Amino acid sequence: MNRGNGPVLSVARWEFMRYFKWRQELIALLVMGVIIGLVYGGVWLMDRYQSGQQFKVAVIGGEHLALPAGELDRFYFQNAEADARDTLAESVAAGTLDGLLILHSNSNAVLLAAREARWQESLDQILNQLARQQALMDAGLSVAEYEALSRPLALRIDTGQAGEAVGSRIFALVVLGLMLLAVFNSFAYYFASITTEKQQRVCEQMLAMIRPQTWVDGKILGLTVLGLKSLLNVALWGLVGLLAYRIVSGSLPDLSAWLPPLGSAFWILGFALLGLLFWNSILAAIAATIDDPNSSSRSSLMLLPILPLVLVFTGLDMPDSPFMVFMSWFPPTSWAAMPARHVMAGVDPLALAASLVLLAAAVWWVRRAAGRIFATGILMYGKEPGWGQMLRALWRREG
Amino acid sequence: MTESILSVEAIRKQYATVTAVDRLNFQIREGEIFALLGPNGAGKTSTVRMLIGITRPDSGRIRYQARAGEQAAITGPELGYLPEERGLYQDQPVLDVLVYFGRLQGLSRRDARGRATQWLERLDLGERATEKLGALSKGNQQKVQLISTILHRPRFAVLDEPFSGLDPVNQERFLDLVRELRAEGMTVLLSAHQMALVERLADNILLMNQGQEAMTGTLESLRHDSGLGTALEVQFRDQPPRELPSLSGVQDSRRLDERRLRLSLASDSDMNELLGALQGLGAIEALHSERPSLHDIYLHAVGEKGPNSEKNDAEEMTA
Repeated sequence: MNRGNGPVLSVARWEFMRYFKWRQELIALLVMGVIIGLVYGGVWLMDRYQSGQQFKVAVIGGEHLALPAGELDRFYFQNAEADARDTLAESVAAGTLDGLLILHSNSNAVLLAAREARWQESLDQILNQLARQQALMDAGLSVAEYEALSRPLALRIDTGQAGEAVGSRIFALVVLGLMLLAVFNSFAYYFASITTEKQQRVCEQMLAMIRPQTWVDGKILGLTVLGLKSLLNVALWGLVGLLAYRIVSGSLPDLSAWLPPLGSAFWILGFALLGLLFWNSILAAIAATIDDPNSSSRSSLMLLPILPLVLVFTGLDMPDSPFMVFMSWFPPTSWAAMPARHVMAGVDPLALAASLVLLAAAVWWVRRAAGRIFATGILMYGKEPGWGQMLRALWRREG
Repeated sequence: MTESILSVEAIRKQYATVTAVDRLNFQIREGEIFALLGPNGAGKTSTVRMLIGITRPDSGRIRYQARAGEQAAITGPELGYLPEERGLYQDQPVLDVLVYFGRLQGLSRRDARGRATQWLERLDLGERATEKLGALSKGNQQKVQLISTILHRPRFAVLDEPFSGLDPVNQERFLDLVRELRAEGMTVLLSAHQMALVERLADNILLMNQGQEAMTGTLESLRHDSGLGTALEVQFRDQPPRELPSLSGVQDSRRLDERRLRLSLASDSDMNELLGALQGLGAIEALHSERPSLHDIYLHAVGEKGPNSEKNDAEEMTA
């Protein structure tokens, strides 16, 4: 049999390239670029059009807010009498006037307009500002006095982690969520890859060239990388979303607040990657035992990787409870539980390292077990190995 | 061509209630074409799977003399395997699949691409190298599968039912190709049930029935050992006597019509003496002799027991 990593890498490359199509990737990027361009360009054009535009608004009852006649910001206000209401409303409908503002009091106003438009939000802000000033004047308060009265108490929670906790928590949640997504993506690829090979009768010739362990190792590697690649797409779309948010709101959220210190990032990423490999190995073994994904009851096993995250979320409030401590050492759940404990309560680096090593050892064992189960199931056509057969395969000496 | 490269000693394989292979023995010499023959369900594919290490014998021993030393199966780059249950990645380009298989068999990417291109050109598929396999006809896919088997120039090629799916023209091309591989020193194990094709190709033959050896040897030795001689068809100008006299060297005779007889000769019969005796029965108008085919030999060897056709399930492999 072929030895060394050459065949594993060849299989990994093949599995990756079976589903990674340059043309499709480029088309997706192009589409993304076009969307960004359209969003940017559209908003830019709109801003440019509106910034040079002045909106003419007739005002009835302007005295309620001390609204001055003439230009203010992007508006030209024109005071009018109440009996001119109908005539002015006709002008609004005809488009010769952008709006007719009727102030009944300093807290009650109506704007007649031909249609809804973004300039009306600006008008709303101006009116609210004038109304607040009016209210302060009526109460005999200055702006500074008002702000002092309305300032909330700022409660800062100090856990001794020097401000890193919030960033680490967000980062850990994002990473674990993305890893779960990567597991599901990879599982879809395993299904497609293995059931296609079974249906197309490729397996016997493959097994004459490479060992089942080599084959499954290459699959795990190639499809894991493919799953991670799909996260890159998600990240790119996230970036597009942020840009859109920036365009709409005019400001970006402070991303630096989401980033944890380097040490925490190392632990979180380490556990997440090993967890991904752990579950991908299990899913590869399951996929090899499924003859027909449409009818096999084993398809539901794909939901298994959700379990650790659900359990971890239930234990987040008590990160040092015996339940959470156990889960942070138990390999099927440690990839999610240990990072959660780390960011919620802080964990000794030695414990982090030991749990990580335990998870790595579990990955190694699961990968070998996957090879044995894979060897049992991959040449079965029209039937699936029983649970007993799979359990016996787990303890067989050779994969 | 004298060294034994593969030795099979009393191997046995049982699937559930069926004994697929039962104490089978044979040897294959380096550089020869060895044919494993038998009807469907005779145990050929089960034997092949044990030879290449996909399954293991329940008992008995397989010894393959690899370049690196003795092995319990033919594995690694020395093996080229065309399985009976075959197929390739239908949704991938022809050349990519061949390069991938070449890489798995130890070739560099450049070598695999170069050799695959040469073979595709040679088998009239050069212009279809970038097409997806699923776009090719079944016969052309079979050619691609054969290329994938021998691309890396294996030392030992195992071809399980290589003729199935090929039209007569491509069957002939395939026969030439296998002869060519033998001339280059490759050892070839053919497992097939098309006996007429195999007898034109094989150096040594093992006839299997119900998982066991029915007969083994060269075609000539099989003919001799079977005791079947030449079949002689004689056409007389006039009707020969209804009661034939005892003819020396004739095992059996059958009247085909009023003027024609079919005689089964013993393998040691004296043809000249027989012709003299036949001329005594009347003027001979035409003679046609036929040596026993593998098909005849097989049916004779199996005798009243008959070829087994109830073991197809046993060929469904469980690892």
